[in-house]
Amino acid sequence: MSSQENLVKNIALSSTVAVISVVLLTLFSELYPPLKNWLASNFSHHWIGKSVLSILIFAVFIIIFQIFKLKNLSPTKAIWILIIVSNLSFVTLLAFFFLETIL
Amino acid sequence: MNSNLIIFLALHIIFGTLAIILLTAYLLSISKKDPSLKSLKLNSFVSFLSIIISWISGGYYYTTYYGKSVKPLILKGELSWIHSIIMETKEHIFLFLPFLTLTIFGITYLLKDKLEKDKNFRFATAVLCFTTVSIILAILIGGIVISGAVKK
Repeated sequence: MSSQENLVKNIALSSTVAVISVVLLTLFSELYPPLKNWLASNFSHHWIGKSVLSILIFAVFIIIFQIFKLKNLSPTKAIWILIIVSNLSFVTLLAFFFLETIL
Repeated sequence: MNSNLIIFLALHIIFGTLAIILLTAYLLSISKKDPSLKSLKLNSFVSFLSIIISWISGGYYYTTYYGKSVKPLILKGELSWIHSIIMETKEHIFLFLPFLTLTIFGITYLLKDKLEKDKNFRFATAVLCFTTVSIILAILIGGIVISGAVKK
């Protein structure tokens, strides 16, 4: 695999991790208010906190994936993982807020 | 709402809509037998930048004005679920977009040869683009619904 293929694969994988981190931060901050308060007090607003943390997580995982190369994973597979995780994450968040509202 | 907030809100909408248009053009182009790599590169780059501008401008409007002034109006109306379901989902799924558009941009700039020659890779990229456009469209529709729910 060329270095460019490796980098694209790592961008896709790190984006996947970032998307998952947004979902987890959102769910946990709704279910555990001290986390939401911590985000708001450290980043001036919980949404800014989630934005900043997702970028940091992306940056950290790009470095991790560059060091610990996943040689058996192709860029095409990494893109499919991102597609599936993004769609599942969208549905998860929509379902969560729907259930939180009606229950 | 002061003029700065109107500008930020307008930028958020304009650049979000621009991203939809460019990514749709990207999707149509990549679906051709011989896609124009030049237009793919331009579309992916400008759509990534558009999402960043929409993120910052929308974020400014949301964190400085929406919570204090718009959200209470929606919550005291009959359509309070529009904030608690649609706005809450919208504001969080938006955070996926910089990463999705960055991936499309990275694919197009770094692996343009693979995009031309590898049909499976090109198909995966097209589906990624379709997913991104769908999410932005859902956000756009959510924004229209939220605007309609505000009663003064």
